[in-house]
Amino acid sequence: MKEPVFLIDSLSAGYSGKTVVKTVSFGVGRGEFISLIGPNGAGKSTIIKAISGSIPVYSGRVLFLGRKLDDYRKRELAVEMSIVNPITGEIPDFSVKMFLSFGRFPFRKLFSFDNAKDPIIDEMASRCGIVHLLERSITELSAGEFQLVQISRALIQNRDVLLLDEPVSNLDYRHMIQVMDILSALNRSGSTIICALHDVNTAAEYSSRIIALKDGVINFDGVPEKVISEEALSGLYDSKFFCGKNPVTGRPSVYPVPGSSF
Amino acid sequence: MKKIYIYIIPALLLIISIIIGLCAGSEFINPLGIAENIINRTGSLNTEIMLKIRFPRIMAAAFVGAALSVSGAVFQSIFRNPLADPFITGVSGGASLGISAAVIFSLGPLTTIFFSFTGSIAAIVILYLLSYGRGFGGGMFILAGVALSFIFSSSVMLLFSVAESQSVHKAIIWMMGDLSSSGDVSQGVVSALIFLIALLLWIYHAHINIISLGKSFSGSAGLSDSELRIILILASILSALSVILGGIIPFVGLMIPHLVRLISGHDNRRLIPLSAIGGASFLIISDALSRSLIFPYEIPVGVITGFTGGIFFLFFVIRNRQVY
Repeated sequence: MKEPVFLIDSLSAGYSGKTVVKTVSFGVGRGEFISLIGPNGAGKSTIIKAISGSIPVYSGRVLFLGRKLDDYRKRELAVEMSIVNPITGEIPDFSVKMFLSFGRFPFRKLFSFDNAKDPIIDEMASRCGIVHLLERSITELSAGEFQLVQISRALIQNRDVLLLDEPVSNLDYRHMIQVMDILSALNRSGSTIICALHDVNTAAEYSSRIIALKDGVINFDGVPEKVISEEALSGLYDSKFFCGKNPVTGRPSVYPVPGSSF
Repeated sequence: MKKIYIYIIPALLLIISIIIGLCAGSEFINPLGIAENIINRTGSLNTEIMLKIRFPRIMAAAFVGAALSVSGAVFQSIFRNPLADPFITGVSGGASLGISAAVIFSLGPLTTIFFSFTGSIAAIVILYLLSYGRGFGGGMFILAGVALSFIFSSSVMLLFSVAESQSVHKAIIWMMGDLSSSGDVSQGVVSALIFLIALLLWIYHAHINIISLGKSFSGSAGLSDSELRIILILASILSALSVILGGIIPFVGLMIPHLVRLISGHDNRRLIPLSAIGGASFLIISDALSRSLIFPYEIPVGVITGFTGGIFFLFFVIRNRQVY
């Protein structure tokens, strides 16, 4: 294994006392592209939240870059990893440019009154193809546009380690491909990426490793070509699947069979 | 160019309000005559009234209005709720309970200030634990705030019912929103503190912007829980200071940030200073009205802001009825 980014040892975590993830262990090497898949409530988002320090860990240990996660201050952590979470609730009427400048927050000094000046902001905006949106308000963007803006903000903060919670769940195909292609390009240039995904095809197409979760424990874990099979998926989702190959990319591609949930 | 206008127009508004505040009252004083008197250094009764009586009161109104609006703007951002303000959060209620206790037991000014801080911070701590700690929704937040306000105001009533009538009268007048006791020694101290804390909150504008996108966002962007708590406590102390100086003056902290946002947008770098100017102007004018509407009586300024703010609030609810 290459230099470990994460070492996760018997991690248990959840919300208000209820354990969702139960003694999960795995390591993440530098440069991996890991997709977490599994049914609703299996613990995909919970793992993302627990290893990013957003929720407390009930038991077990999370080492990030060789150091215990609890030992990091929030600001130090923000410099080393960036996170894309869905933003819920009342969203303030900030311009895209302003929102992107929040990616520089962990680097800024307290007595600083100019934002949106850093050249990295424009660089990442053009990398994510959102330069034409810079003056718009984030409240008037489509879901796909907002997701690109969010990813761009995350990249402005840090490009080494990216954690994403269902980044493409409610996007149309074009935006889904756009977002995943950006992640894939980042991964090729060395970024470590961990994302929770709903769609097995997206996971199989883009990731170097798939970790499947069911009822808070790891169901299977490995390279997509090796772990994606009809038996594995029907065990994971309690439904029948038919597996094939994407004729263009040669990656596994799966077809859920209607009327087969059990 | 546009940027400069955003500050110049409110600054002009503030200057005009100060002039109106100086002239209006039981007797209208012509501002030009006064300017002449000051320039020629010829004293007159009118100059005395303006400088020794009306000016300190205008200053009190300005600082109270600014404190209420800035803390309202900060609460609205932090709790991500357009209805959050010093009153709905129960923070003013906590402060007024502290002050009522101090007034009724005739404690000194410093103790009064300390009691008011304690009350307001207690309120925000309870609200924080009830809401933020549990990933709350907006409805839950408002209900908790209203419950707190009722508990505090009942406690104030309890104090009144067992206290001597002399001190109760004083406290009741003050609770209606009273700027007339301004000119005390403590006015200078409290005003200086208001300025300082508002300035600190302005320095924290980027933090507040980030919190306004929610706790999970702000955490991942590098903002620590302790920074969040410091900002909440500063905003609560600011509300408490406004209560010390002006009593209970409702709706300013709710209404002014909403109006200011129409020109400043949601960026707290602009919202905080413009809310301060807007709140100061609004309360100076309200106070001028309270002194001159029903001569020779003086209406408590809280009544004026209660009317205007209440009507604004109704419009706000109607406009956003699909949301609530």
